[in-house]
Amino acid sequence: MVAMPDEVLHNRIRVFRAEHRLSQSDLAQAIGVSRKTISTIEVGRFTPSTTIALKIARHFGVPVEDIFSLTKPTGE
Amino acid sequence: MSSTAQMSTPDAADRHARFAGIAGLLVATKYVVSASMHFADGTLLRVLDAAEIGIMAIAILVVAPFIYWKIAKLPRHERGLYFGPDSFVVESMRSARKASWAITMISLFVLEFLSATQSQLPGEFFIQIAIAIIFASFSVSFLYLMRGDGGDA
Repeated sequence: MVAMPDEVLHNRIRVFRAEHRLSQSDLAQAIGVSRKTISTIEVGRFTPSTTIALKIARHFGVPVEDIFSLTKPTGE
Repeated sequence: MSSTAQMSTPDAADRHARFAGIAGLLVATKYVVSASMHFADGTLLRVLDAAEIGIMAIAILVVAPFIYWKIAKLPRHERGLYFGPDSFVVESMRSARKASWAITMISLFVLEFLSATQSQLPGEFFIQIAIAIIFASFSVSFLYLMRGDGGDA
């Protein structure tokens, strides 16, 4: 499937962090990236590589699609 | 300000990356001072000479803790981890390099024009200004991309 240009990468990292009571630093340390990498992914400023996305999903023990999804922007 | 020893490794990695950007700005300032020395003489020249040495010393002091932290504090297997090719820091560096390249190219055209019209100035002056622009544009772009947001919620 080809992604539409107006689709954006949505993520639920903050939700999963809250459920697991993890800070950004804790998650960053667990997957071996800087805290800025996690914070900018969370707010949508940085699109993670496949490797980082898979590491985050593996850390939470869920499929990557549970954390990352392509969504159309609201307010169309 | 908390020291690197008290902060987590991911936070220390971000902090050291920002310090590298600040060091780049200091190097740019050093080259501006070097270029301005072509217009100075006497006491002012001695002051600028001392300022140049002082700025470089500060730049070294800014990056030295990063080198020490990376070599002495980080375990060997973690040294490449926080600044890996898919990290935000490296992506910011890539973007800053692109911005710096564009700004430098435009600046070189301007400097080429100026060197033709201001022939009394030595070629060294234009090279120093060009180097200052390279470092300044890269550092400013990098520090802008590394600006704070997305606090730990």
